[in-house]
Amino acid sequence: MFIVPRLVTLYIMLVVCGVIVLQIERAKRGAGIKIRRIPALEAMTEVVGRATEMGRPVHFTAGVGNLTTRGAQAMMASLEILSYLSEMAARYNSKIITTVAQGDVYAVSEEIIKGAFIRAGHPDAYSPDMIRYLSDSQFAYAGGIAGIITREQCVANVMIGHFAAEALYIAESAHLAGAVQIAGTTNMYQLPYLIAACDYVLIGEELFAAGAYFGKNLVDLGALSGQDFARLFAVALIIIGVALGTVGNKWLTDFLAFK
Amino acid sequence: MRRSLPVLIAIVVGIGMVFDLFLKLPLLNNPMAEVRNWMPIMTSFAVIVGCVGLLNVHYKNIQRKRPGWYNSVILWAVMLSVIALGCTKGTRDATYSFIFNNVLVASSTTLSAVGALFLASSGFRAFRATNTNATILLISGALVMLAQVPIGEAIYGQIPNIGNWIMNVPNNAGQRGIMIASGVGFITVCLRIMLGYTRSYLGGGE
Amino acid sequence: MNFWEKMEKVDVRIIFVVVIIAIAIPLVKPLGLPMKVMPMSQQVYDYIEKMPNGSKVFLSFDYGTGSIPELEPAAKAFLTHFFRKGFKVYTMASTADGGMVSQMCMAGFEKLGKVYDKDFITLGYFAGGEAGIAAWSADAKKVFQRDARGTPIDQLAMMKDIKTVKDFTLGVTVNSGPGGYGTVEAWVRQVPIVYKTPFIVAPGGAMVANTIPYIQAGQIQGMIGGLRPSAEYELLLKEPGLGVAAMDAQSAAHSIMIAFILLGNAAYFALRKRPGARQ
Repeated sequence: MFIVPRLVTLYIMLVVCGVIVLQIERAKRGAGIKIRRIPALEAMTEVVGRATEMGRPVHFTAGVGNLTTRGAQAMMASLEILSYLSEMAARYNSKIITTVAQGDVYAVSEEIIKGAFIRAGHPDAYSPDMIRYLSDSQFAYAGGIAGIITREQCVANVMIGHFAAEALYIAESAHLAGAVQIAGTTNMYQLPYLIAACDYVLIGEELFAAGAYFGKNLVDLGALSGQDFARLFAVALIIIGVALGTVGNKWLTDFLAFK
Repeated sequence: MRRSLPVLIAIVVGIGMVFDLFLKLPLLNNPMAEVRNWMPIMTSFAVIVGCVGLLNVHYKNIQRKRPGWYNSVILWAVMLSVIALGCTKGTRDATYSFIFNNVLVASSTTLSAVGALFLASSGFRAFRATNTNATILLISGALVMLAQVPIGEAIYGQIPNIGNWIMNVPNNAGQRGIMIASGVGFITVCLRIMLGYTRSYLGGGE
Repeated sequence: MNFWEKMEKVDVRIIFVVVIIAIAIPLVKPLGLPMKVMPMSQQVYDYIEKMPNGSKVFLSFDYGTGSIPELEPAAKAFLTHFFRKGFKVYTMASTADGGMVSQMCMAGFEKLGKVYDKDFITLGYFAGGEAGIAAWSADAKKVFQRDARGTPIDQLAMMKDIKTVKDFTLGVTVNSGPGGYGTVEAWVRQVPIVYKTPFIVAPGGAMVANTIPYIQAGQIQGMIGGLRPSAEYELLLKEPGLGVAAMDAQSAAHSIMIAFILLGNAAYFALRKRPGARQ
């Protein structure tokens, strides 16, 4: 019944998933889990404050991904940040402009922002103009964002999600417009450009910490803690494998590759 | 029901897809193969939904005479005429190819090339040797850049080998670390969706 | 403002103009700088050279129109090599633009005498990203009911013996990354890992760093990553083309960027040393 060459992958997957589920359940039962400070996420509060003081909007974009195939995980995580950012904007009476590149993201973003304004107690402050669907063509989308940031004089550009080659285009345009920039993506090809061009960057899996960081959601906290244990497990395998490999023993490498 | 049914579908299909990779069980493999075959079809319809959504947004711009509404008129005209041309004459038609080559290719490559200019300006701004780490980054970045072009080996013959070593050894180590950590992050997000902990794809909330 | 202050705060438009001029000059007057072939390009060339003539290979055009200048030299070099070896070439695309790009590219080879459904077929665009790759790998005819020219798949002679991706001797993706749907990682996860079909990738230069781990793990057989390896591949084939032609311009662009970075750093240190200057 089992596809034998993939059994090792199955065991590792069950261990990793088991640890994550265990930590989620422990967190739900009140185990105290703490998160370290992440500067890029702390800066979200600052940018909303800046926007309120200067009377200029914050721009948010989740990138060119969609919720099914392209960078779906990063998109889901970025929508959690949108939820937090829009609730903050609603509370502090500042404006947020969200640009999207995909139809499904447009629909979900609309629900999230509306819900955030209702939760903040300012349902009248919500305007459909806060979400703008530009184009799914990456450079057309980037050009549209550059225009919006310049024309609307956005005080901050928060670009967190799934980005491709247009990332640098958006970041540089926002820099030239004088906006503070917070960026984050799991697309490793674009990270170097964002680190060079932006003020704060969420690197790789820091993106997934947002839900836990802001909402202190117990499931998110437990999942983060479970991820840490899974990474410790990976580190242990690496150390053992390197030690064995250094003395010429390839047992662990062959076992994991099922040779 | 409105929220429970999609969550149930996500749980069943998600877990089914994962175990399909490990089990040789026709009762599981056949339905999951059918789901995989349906994905290209559903994604194709998503393209259509995207087009209709785009036309709708720009129609509202025209209706409400928002600033720049004439651009929306142009979009409507061009989009519908190119779709009509492609559907009637096919994508191998000379006119369709002309529009593709001289409008889409030309504008896309131009915008892509502008990225190189932004790279130069962001590199000028960002790559300052302010501390030890930044200096190492600067030197290794310069060596890798020179390794990619013939002028590097004209300056010093070993630059391509040095650049390749930087890519294959220290860079590779860092990349692997990020890949493993991101992979664990992906597993976590997918697990939360498959077990119903996260429902943000339905529009907010847990 | 003194010289160093001006250098540190130079207007970005000046940088843009200097870079444009630096790139344009070698395009008009090539320098012809010599270039040695690096081991990775040699590895790819040797691997394909050793394959038996008449092998079935697929090449996926996973890039859009914006990446044509960077990736088309690699795609054309691969196709030149494949046709030289008498391979049966199956092309497809996981990006919507890629469908048209593949047709344009193959039209060039058709003009050189390659025969459709004898030497190559163009299957066209398939949607779904990684799911589409998985579906195609498991059952090629379920995803493509017709080819890009509208011919039913069962009427194509070249598709007669193709059931799964295991029926191919080699797969290649020319890939601009996540701008399209089928990324390098998606192909690696679904083809060489699951079906053990040999696989070569041709990613854009920005993706090379992330693709090297797969080569070192033995999951892919080689990589032509970026414009320089494409130029090296053209030299190995003794058919210098767009890749080689762009090398001088790329040399100029990289040199100018490094010069600006060094200038910026010189200004930074000069200003830092001034009495009362900011730290």
